[in-house]
Amino acid sequence: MSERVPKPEWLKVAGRRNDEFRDLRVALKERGLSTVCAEANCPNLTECWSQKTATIMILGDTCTRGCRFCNVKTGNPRGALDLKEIVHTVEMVGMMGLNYVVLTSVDRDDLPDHGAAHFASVVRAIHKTYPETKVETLVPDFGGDQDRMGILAASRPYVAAQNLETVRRLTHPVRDVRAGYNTTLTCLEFYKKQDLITKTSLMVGLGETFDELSETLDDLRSVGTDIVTFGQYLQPTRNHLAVERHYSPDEFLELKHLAYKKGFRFVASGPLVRSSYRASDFDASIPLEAIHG
Amino acid sequence: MAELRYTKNGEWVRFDGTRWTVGLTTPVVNDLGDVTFVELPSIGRCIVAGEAVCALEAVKAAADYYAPVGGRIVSVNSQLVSEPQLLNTSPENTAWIFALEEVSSEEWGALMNGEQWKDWEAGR
Repeated sequence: MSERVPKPEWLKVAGRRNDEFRDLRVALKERGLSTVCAEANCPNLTECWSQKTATIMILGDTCTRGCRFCNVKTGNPRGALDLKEIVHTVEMVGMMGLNYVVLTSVDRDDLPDHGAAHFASVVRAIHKTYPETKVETLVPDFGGDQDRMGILAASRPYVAAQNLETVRRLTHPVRDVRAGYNTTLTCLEFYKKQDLITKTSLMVGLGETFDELSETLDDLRSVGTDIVTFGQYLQPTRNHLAVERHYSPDEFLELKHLAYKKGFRFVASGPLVRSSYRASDFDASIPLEAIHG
Repeated sequence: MAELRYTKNGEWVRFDGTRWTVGLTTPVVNDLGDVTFVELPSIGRCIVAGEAVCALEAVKAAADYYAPVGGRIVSVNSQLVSEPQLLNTSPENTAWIFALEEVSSEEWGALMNGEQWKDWEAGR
């Protein structure tokens, strides 16, 4: 039996379940809505939900891709689409009472448009009912197709995010074979050219070097990416990629300083930071009208 | 017959007339993920309600176990040291974590009984 390597103290999760946690969970269940929080076993789930914050995951709970770091179910939804997700998501936004919400989705390579129109419909529905609410969209790559990306961009999210996840060398095996380092950079560049604020996330602890992370940041800045987050990769189950090492809080700080030096507008960096963790900490002070057009 | 009560945070407490045994409910363990390590507290230690008494580690997370009630620890479930995965397979039976004596009747009475907990979980 291999010797246990204890998790560092800084990976201990905070948060206690309370009425708000329960209310959120019940409301999500009643509406048949998924969250990346629960489906991906996010360690921050209790902390966020007990503060009435959750990242709703639309287009169902089954992803057509199987990235080796992710615990979301993989399968073939065979074109299934729940249009009630639109009204239900709007209801949850109202219930959460947030001025800043993050929406994400699974990959839907089974749909002709990879889910772009549905995603855009949800964004527009939120804008219509809650025009003051900022919507950050953490989207799939839509197969790298510009028409599909254009559909999403036309809904004018406050932030368009797509996760690069890791450095170029480790993209495969970390990500599904259909995902690509250059594809994600192309997507981020596309959204930037639509005058959207763009964002990406990187997991560390998978075997990358500091130099590789530095190069990755350069690549991201070359396509104008505004925001980057760094978080410790944690193995969801024993069937997923092993953790190569745990970065210390000081190392996360070093990455944060490096990213700011390279010109990123906002950086979140910490062991338990995730793409949508406390996403509203970023405040561009740009009026919504400038984004909605 | 033993009586089972619960906290909002998902701890359970079972009183058999002599001692109070504590553990974690299934929903909480499911969110935690595959448990890989349990650090048990010392026998004889006096704890207060809400205190972080021992540490749990799962594949994806580490968390403290908060005492649902205060008292003196009189027994710990050593089986969890060699088989931490019991918390995933049998959280509400075999995988009790530790047992207490000298629990106050006020703290015990403040916990939710089974029906109250089911109603609370369901948002009723």
